[in-house]
Amino acid sequence: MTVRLSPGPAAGPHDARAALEQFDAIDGELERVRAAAAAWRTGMAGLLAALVGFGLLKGRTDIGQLAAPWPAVTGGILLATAVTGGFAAIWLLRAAHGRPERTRFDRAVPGRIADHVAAGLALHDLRRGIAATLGCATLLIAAVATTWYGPAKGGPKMRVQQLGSVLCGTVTGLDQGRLTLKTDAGLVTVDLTRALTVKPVDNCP
Amino acid sequence: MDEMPYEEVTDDAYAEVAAAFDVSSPAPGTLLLAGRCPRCAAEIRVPVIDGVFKNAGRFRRAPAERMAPMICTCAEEHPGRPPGRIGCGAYWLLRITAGAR
Repeated sequence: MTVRLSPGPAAGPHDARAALEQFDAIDGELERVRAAAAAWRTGMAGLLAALVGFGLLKGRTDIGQLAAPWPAVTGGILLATAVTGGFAAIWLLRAAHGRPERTRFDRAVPGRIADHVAAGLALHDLRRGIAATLGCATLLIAAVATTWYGPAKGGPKMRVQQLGSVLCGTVTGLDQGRLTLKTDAGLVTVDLTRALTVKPVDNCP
Repeated sequence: MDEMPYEEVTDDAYAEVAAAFDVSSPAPGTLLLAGRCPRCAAEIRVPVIDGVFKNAGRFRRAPAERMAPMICTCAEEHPGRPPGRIGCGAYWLLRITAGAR
């Protein structure tokens, strides 16, 4: 690209003000971007912390209790969450505190332009960091949702309380008031007329 | 030698002198104009950039031809310079035309 300079029309005092404002804007630009990035970094960290806290509130916490293929799906989402979160952290920290890099003298640009270039890089990192954090939050919600609401391994189970015993397992048959449960101890037949309570559960203790 | 006092002043000749400044583009979207201030003759380097981070409106790329207001940006002492100002007070308008090589 070529650039040609030529005299402009007669300047007025407002042009002097405009030039000074532009000069000041360049001078403080890097500081403003760093401050904005630091604020975004704190806000995004708070958002993720709140989501993680919410995810631990209630519901299933072991993806091993999910029916196939949901453990693999949830594991994949969690891996993507960790990768996205890692990139978000790097980009936001880099935007707030600068890149740990050296610049060769023969490639260094003059002072104010260098600050402007650094501000541009920080702004680019800040935008990517915000997008990655929001992506990480979305993936985290998806991971929590599949963990909580994914189908349980082995289908629905039944918990039957009788006098002196509690049985829990997968229903395999029902015939003439007798329920057959597949429990950890094997197949057990229960007479429902003697049951005190019958309750469907997600998991047996 | 007496120091030249600070005075916000312009002259048609200032822009003509500045039109002969050396132009370089150290980074995309930036220009650096270098030369002697048309008033105080100090060596100055004036950055010209497309836009800054200010959270004040959306950025639009600069047109091919634009009018750039400029001031002397020298660091020399000029008696009477108000706080927050720079240079000797000289200002001018420069037409910058960008074209494909």
